[in-house]
Amino acid sequence: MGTTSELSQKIVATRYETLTPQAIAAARQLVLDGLAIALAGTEEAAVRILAEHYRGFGARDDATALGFGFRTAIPCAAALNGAAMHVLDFEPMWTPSNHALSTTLPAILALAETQRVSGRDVVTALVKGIEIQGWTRHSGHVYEHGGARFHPPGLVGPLGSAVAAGHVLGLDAKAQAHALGIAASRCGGLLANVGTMTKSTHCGHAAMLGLEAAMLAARGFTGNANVFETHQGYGAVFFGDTFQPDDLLNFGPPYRIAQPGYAMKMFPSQYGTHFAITAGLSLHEQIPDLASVRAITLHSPVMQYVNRPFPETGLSGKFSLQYTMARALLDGRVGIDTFTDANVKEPPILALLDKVALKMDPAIPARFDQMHVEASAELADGRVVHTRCDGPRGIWGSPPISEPDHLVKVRDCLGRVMPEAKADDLITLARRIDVLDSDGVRELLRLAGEGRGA
Amino acid sequence: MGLTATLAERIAATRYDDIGAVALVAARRLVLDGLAVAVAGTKEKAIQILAAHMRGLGGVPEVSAIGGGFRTDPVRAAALNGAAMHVLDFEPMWSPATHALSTTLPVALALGEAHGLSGREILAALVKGIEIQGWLREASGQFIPEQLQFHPPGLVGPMGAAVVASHLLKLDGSKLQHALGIAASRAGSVFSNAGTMTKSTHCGQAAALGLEATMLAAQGFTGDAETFDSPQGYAGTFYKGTYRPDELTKFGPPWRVVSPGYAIKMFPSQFGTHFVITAGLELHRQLGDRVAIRAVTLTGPVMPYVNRPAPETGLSGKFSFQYVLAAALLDGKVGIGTFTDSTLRRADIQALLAKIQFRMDPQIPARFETMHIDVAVELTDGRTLQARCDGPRGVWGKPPIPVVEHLVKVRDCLAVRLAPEAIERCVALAGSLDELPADGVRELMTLVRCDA
Repeated sequence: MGTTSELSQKIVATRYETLTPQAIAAARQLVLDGLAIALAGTEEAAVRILAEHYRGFGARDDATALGFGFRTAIPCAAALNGAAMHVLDFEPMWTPSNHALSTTLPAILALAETQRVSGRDVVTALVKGIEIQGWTRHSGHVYEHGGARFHPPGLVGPLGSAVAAGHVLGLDAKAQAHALGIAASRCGGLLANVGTMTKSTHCGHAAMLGLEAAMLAARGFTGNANVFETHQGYGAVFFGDTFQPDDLLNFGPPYRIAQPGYAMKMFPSQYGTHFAITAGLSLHEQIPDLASVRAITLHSPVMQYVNRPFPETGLSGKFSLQYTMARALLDGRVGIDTFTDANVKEPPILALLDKVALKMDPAIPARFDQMHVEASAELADGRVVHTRCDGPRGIWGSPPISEPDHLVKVRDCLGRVMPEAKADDLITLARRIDVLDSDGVRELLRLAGEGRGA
Repeated sequence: MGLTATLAERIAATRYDDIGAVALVAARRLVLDGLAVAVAGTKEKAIQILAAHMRGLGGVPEVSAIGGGFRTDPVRAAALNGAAMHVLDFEPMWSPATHALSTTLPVALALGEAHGLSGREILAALVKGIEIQGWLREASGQFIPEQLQFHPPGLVGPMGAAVVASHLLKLDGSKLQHALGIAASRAGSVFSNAGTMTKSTHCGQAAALGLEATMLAAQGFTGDAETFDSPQGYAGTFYKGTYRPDELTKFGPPWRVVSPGYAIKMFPSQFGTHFVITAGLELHRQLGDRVAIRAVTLTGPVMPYVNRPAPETGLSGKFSFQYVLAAALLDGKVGIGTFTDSTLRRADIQALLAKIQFRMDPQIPARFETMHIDVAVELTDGRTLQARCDGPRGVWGKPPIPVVEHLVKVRDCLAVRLAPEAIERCVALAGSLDELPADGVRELMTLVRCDA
């Protein structure tokens, strides 16, 4: 039997009963995190344009557009909600690096208003959709940023969505294999679009197109059913010789959602910048008088796409080691409002950015689980203040973000678009996702659907 | 100014009046061919599944689903009509190889019908959309199958569709730069889906997602505006190490629809198989109907994806050198009916397939423009018959398929779904597309919708 067939059988055999308590607990937290950041994301211009675009199709009202107060066709809802869930760059980070949540959860939720989808189904589908993404990333054996050709959620997200939706739609192993074959032809997503509105659609389109692959496979549509191992298949095309399809067969307990798990993001920006932000916050505490700063040197791994000395837009600022570090130093905090178009052009930040030099050092590993940054500020009196960040709070290998801390993030996000009482209701439901019946899941979507409206 | 900006400005400045009569003739013929093969394609199972799926999504009824008897929103319609136009593998072939029509014409027709545009604008948009795909293929520096990681229409199609839509939605150069950047993130499609239903969606999705990229850019959505310049942009990602950027600056007259032009397909299968079919048909004439074959040796270029000794579906048979040879030898003709699952299961075909050896010779160039194939048939009486094909009729460098003969193909295809009167009306409307006002375009789309 080929790898894809064997994998598909493992996928289909994975049910709620085979999940571990750790995986279920992790999925609960992810559902809440995903909904909260997606609702906060609906304020972004990129998502508002997408919402108008999808609303314009006047398609069937089968699935809720989170936060916009309208419903649309199932694939369209997945695309829109996936983009909303990613646009702030606030969703959890995975290792190898990826955005595995915004590519899957929206596909699952998009089906919940036309199918009977219980909370257990949501949790199981999510664990499975994340699992396949993790092992596909791992099977490519490309961990360093310099080795990446495509933006990971565009690269593996459609497969994750095809598996998550495949669970909800009850695909058998054969149909699941075809769904993976179809989804492989939807993979892509260019790194050059990082820092533009298009980046969020890598996740939204992955959710939509993987879901559509599963919907088509359910109707008997065919793709290459051996796509991972075949000549000119997924592995060969996207990874070449480094791809080891057999690694995919690790699919299963303890599940990647729990092991190695995810790093909860506490800042809405690219994950490498969290190292720079942590360093910047440390400098902020040590330097009471910013006027005394003569120059700052920031040492980082080689990550060209986050070398942006003077970002032009707020979105682009999320991918600037210089801007995020300088903002942390200037403001002593980094939040959603740090990344508005107006804020990247403020005179005080421009003055500070003038003093920042980024040195990218090839000796520092360019992967989140091994990298570090160092910042040295030279003051007018000749003193040098130095700080180093080996990993932001909550990174793999350090204590996870505590639940109360996470709830502060969630309430912050929800508070931007809904009153406190409603946010409380939503939080209460989402934290019980694994015991909700299908009506409960719909109630959760109803709460998340209204938001503040378009 | 970067290459992307220069190119986008030139594309945006190109108007109907710049196209010229020769290119318009070529484009009109493409419209007719595309509509005909799409109508015929709608009887395929792949398209029926897609149509049911798209219909179920219920988009605002602005654009006809060819052969579907319903209308939906422009993006869904482009996806469905693009797949229908490709599924038979009957649309024209281009040099360097791609399928440039099913990725673009559905977009032009969708916006034409939805926005009430004239036939002239549709033709101008089509010429531009094909133009960019041709130069992107040239710029790739990747021409033989083993160099290709992605199926070409999935790779260049979204860019072509974005250019078509940008002409019809009147984007300026700056917005087109963003549309191209967005569309670049929709490019892909793995080659190994050839021979499955998914292959046709490479064209349909390219059309739909390129159109969507332009619709979003028109609303101010942003992508990398330098996608042909950026190290991790379109060319940097897909053409790394082989990129020939200067090719892109050649966008313009005499237009690729004319030079090098396209090869009209007279058989509904992968273009390399047309070489094999041509040789097989010649041998069939020599053999007559009583075929007593001991063994067949087929020698061709290295094209692993068409080396399919025992295809399992009719769809997969379209990509099998062995299968098309068996069918041509036995039946003396190859048509849509050759590639049904039931024909594939015929005992005589299966018996002959077992006798065919395909030898891939690295000495033979693996490009449609320069390849050839040889077939040797050893008979039970000891005789050996041979045939060689340097190119099917209508290939570049040979006389094009005559108009009257093309019309036979077109009428055959339309007759799969339409009555004679409707066929003649379609042929007349598409044949005078550059004189059609919006009403005429809508009448044409209504006809090919094939309402019950």
